[in-house]
Amino acid sequence: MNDLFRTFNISAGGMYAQRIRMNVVASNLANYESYRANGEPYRKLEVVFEAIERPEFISRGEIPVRVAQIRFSDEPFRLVYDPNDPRANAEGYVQKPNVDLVKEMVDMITAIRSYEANLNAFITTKEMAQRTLELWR
Amino acid sequence: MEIIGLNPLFDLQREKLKSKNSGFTEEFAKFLNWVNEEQKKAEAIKDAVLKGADIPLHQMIVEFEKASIALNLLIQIRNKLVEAFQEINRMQV
Amino acid sequence: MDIFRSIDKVLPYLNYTWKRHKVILSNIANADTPRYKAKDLIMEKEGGGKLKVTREKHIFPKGGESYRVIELQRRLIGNDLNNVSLEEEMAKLSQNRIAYETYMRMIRGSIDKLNNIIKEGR
Repeated sequence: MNDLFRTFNISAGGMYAQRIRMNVVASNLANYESYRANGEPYRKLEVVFEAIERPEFISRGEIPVRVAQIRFSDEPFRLVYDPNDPRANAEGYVQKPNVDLVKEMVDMITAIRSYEANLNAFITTKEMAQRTLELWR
Repeated sequence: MEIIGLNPLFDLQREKLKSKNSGFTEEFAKFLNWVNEEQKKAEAIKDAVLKGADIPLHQMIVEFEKASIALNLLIQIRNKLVEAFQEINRMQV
Repeated sequence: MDIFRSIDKVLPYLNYTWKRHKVILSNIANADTPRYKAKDLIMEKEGGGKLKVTREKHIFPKGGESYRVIELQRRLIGNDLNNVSLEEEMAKLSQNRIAYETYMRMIRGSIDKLNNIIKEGR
């Protein structure tokens, strides 16, 4: 039975990873204009996926995915020219959170698509297992 | 033409009959063994799966079905043998 | 006893299809993993025939059974060096699943036939 459960876990892990990614995108979008207590702009979060490639599992065809890290991005902050803003620097630029709206939306759409693909795969596995049980009368 | 006594002929027949009889018993014993092996295989796979071994579902089920077929075969053969025996019993001597 | 011969003929295909299913699942789960390369499972011909295209790279021979090799695939997409094509994987998933059910039906058919013969319709 372990074999079957591990098979389900591959797809379940995929769904979980994509959901984390969606959460991260949601956070980034929500904090598009946020600042920290120390005046620094919000740094966007990014997820790092990692494939678990262990030899004994690969020989069985199983390569699950996991969320290796959720980390702050070290991309530079956005600079917006607005000399009237109290936060403006000497040249009149304000630092804004390093969230790129377009990229976040694309990420969200990709995450949803991958999530659904994993879900479909999960359902397929379930149906195959059910058919197999029907073999047994 | 040599005149050979009938005795060696009888001996030969007796030998043949003996080997034919034990042939059947041997075959049947082999068959029983095979049915038993199938049951044991199915039991082994069941134990392995319960212990959490790495056996795909379909393999376990196919083994179970094979054991069940073997058992069915044995039961039917037993029925036939019993029938034959009863028929022989009924025969008037 | 070779009354099981028809069943035993199909079993390796069933095993192969199930393992390939797991490989496809892994590809789908890792569709967004950086540097992940899509994998597939192919059957070697009896006697270890040559494998097809030069672009496909072997990584791990033999999952313990014969006639199977897990291999690496082509086509880089995107700058995270991931080359999983989700559409292709979904297509393979459907096709593979149908193959699995076909082999299942074959075995079911053999089992039913054997049981019928043995029980003589009783």
